[in-house]
Amino acid sequence: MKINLILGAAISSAALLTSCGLDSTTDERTYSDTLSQLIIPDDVTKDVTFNNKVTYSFKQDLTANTMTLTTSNFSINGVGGSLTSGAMPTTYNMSTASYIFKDGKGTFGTSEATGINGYMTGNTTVGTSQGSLGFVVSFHANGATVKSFYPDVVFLGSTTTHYVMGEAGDREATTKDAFYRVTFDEKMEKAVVIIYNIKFAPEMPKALEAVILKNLDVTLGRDGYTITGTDIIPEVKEGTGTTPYENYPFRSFSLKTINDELTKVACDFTVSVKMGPTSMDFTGEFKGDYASATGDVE
Amino acid sequence: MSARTKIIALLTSFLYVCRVLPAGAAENNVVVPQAETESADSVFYLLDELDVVAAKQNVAFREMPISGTIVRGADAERMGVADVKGLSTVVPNFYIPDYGSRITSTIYVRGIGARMDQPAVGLTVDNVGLLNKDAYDFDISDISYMEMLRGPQSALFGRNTMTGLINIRTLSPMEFQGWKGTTELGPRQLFKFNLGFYRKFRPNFGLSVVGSFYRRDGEFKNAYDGYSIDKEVNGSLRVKLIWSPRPGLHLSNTFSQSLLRQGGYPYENVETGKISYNDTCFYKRHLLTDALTVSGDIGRVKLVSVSTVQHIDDNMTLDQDFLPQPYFTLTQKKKETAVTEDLMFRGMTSDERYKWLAGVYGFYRNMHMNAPVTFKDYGITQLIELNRNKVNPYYPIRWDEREFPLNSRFDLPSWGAALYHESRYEIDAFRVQAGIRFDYEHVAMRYRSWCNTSYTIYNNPTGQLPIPQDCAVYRRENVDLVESGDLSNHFFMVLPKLSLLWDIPTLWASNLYLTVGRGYKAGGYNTQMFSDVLQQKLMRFMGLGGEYDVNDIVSYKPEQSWSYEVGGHFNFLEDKIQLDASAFFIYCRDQQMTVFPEGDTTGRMMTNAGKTRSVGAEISAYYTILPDLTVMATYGFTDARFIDFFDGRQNYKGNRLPYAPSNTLFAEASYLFNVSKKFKEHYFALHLNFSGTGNIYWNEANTLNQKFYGLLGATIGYNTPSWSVEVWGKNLTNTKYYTFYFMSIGNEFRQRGRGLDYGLTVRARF
Repeated sequence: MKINLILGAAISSAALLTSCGLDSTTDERTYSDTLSQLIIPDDVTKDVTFNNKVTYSFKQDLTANTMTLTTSNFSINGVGGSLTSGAMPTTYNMSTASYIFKDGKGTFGTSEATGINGYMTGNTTVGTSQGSLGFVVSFHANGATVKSFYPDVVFLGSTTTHYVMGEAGDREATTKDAFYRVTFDEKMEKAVVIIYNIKFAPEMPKALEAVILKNLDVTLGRDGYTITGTDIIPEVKEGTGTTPYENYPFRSFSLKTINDELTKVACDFTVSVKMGPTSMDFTGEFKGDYASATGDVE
Repeated sequence: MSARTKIIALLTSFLYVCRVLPAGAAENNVVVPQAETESADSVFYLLDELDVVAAKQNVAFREMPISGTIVRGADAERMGVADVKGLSTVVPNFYIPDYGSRITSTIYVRGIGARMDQPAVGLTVDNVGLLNKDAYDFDISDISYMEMLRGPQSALFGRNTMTGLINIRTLSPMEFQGWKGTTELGPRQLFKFNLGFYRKFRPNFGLSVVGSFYRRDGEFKNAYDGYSIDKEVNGSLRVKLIWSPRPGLHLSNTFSQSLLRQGGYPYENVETGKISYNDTCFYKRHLLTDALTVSGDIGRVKLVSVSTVQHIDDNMTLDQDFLPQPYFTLTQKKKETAVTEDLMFRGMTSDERYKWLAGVYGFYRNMHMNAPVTFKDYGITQLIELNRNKVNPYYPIRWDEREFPLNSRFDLPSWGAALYHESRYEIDAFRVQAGIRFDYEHVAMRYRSWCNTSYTIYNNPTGQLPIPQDCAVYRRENVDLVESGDLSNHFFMVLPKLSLLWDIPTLWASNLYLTVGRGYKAGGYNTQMFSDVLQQKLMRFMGLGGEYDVNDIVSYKPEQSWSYEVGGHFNFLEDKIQLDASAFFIYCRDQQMTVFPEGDTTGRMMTNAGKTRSVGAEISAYYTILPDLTVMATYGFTDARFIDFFDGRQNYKGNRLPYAPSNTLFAEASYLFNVSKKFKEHYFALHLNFSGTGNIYWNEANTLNQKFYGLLGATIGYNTPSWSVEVWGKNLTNTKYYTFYFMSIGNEFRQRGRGLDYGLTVRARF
């Protein structure tokens, strides 16, 4: 499937810098990216918080097959610092073009950082790019687990809609053409979800190029984040702006992360499509991801 | 082959080419004048040297391992065959439906053909191998002969001769001396006039100048305005020069120019049964060709060089919906210039059993085209506004202008080069021919499609349509879309051919043959899809998804085939009966078909999607029952089917190919008789003919078809050495049939075949 993302300037898209080592005996590359973080305290009574715009820098030694990670300053449970790892051994997964590191150790400020897990992959859908370089990192320090995620990311996967087609009865349609872009505001309180190339049923004459659901509520939890909304009037990209589609109200919408790495999501929605004096309800389910180290498909 | 056999074969083919019905001889009742030349066989030898097809074949036609049909000039005149479409009546398994306009030359041979872009059959007229099939259909006066070679000719003639080659040669000043004129009159203001001047100023220098004019009102009327739709006016000029400056060196130059203006497109709406559309349809064309042929001997090698220039400048304007409502129109204007060079070397070794031919060919052509599609009021309402407002009636749109163009401009340069070789070896009664061609072609397209228009979005709280008058404006959108780019591709083909021929020793001038060959139809770019490209871009601009990848939509690869044929040419009863028969199998892959693209788009694209096979047989027979009475008949049968073809929605495996008839039949009886023994060269000629075509399927699903139909024709004429008068009739029973069917924006259309027609033709030569 070819993705043709048109909307706007890249939002928090990574500025990736690469450089080669000057030492003629090693092959070193350096990358950096700006990510957001979910901070999950060990103490379950404390709230899950987040950080925005944390710069992660990676130095990859292709000769020694190691990765070294450093970050800019950020706060965990009120304590500031930056993460620095040791040289972590990496393994390469050819099917996803990913360099994976596990159980790395390092420091956060003056404390120890453990369980540095993650991967660098060349096949993410971040911002307006497909097939771009992206990073997934989690670690434990200062009494909390820190998980990285992208505040502007596109999820690819499969959408199944259920509807009743008159006397023909219940019907189901599945498509892989639709994809979902999620962007968060700076305070992680609201999100915008854009669904591209959506047809709620094959009988629909044309897909809608981009259905925009604004002002959705964001809830942070120990399992990740959840985006919800009810009775949403979507807007559809048209010409130089957007146009409300009052005849496609989303009665309910829910999108949440479903894996530890925060790379996979599941989405459910209900749409009532008005057609003249009648309306037809469609319920939809989506599962997708923006990156994968192992290529597992759910 | 012995010398005696060669001479007999040459004379046989000469008689075949100049076939006089019946053979003229002093001892018969009727004396039919021969062509006025000093030495008929030396003239034809010279003319064969200057004919690119004859130069490559180099043997008498019925000595070739090939199926073919020749129609000599006099028969062509008598049957009213003045163009390529007329050949369709006579040649088995060869079908050119008469529909649309003269830009349309859809040719099917043995079930294989093409409606769009590249043709499957080549056409050479006076050595000009026409590269663009938009130029195939034009009237040709004073035809010397027309030959149709069936089966792949790609080894010697290259691109777009996958299923055959048509070669037309016009009368030469070496064949005829004096003035030759024709006048034709008939209903619907038919007026046709040809006048040719032929002069051999010296034994080695001849010049001819031929002019013609034709006009006729249309047969079909537009119910919308009551006017005749398909009237036509055309005129042409041809200048031919033949010169042999010294023995062994021959030059020929033929310059031809024609102008055409016609209506056309008498498409009847199936539901209403009427031809009715509101916007104008016409086709105008200026065609110019020139071919310079030089033939000379260098020792035991003959060199033939054919250089041509071709220029076509035309304008096709259509009410593209063919409905009385103003949906949309198309104006396609193009100018194309092409140059070609074919350099052949033909030789034989001291052992005359081995002959060889080698050559190099090159061409360059450049087409510039403008093709705007103009959306009109009704089309904007039905195709744009309604679709968009159905999806969002609460914020509906109304276009600001009630007419706007989707513009498209193209430049399509292409060039190609080829090397070819053929060897022939005779062993007693056997002859083996093996040929190969290496063919390279480069195609490119620079395109720019754009539209500048605007529409207004309204806030319609009730969602009721049509938009209530009091709705507030929500936003106005300017639409400025551009789609532009450059595409290029190249193709390389190796085209072999192998034939085996056996002279049957017990049967005079008869043989059996087996031929295997590869053919191909060139790839390229289809410009017709561009209005769809821009329409999809416009719908996407409006929020309705789906967009084409331009290269995927408009580009197509070469189509390729393998053809296997067995056949024979037979003569019985001392040449009173001539019989040609053949059976064939053709396997075709990467067939150029129109399909529905992936995703959510509504148009169709051309791609290489199909595999087909075609199997069939042909037979042609000529019987001189009496010196004054002859009959001829041709029959072709084809079973052409898809082996595999998925059009994006359905697989048509096993279905018959559309538009190609499964049967073609032609039969004619001719009788000459004279009134007075005193004037043996004055005689009446009566010709009765019947032609049949069908079954023809109109779609890949094989749900619609035209059943087999027959047409009766007759000619009765009075002939003298210097003038003749003929009364002729075609489709004498006024049989109703259809030649074409298609669908457009959900409507079905078809074109009726020509009904009863008749006329009077007067010819004079002096």
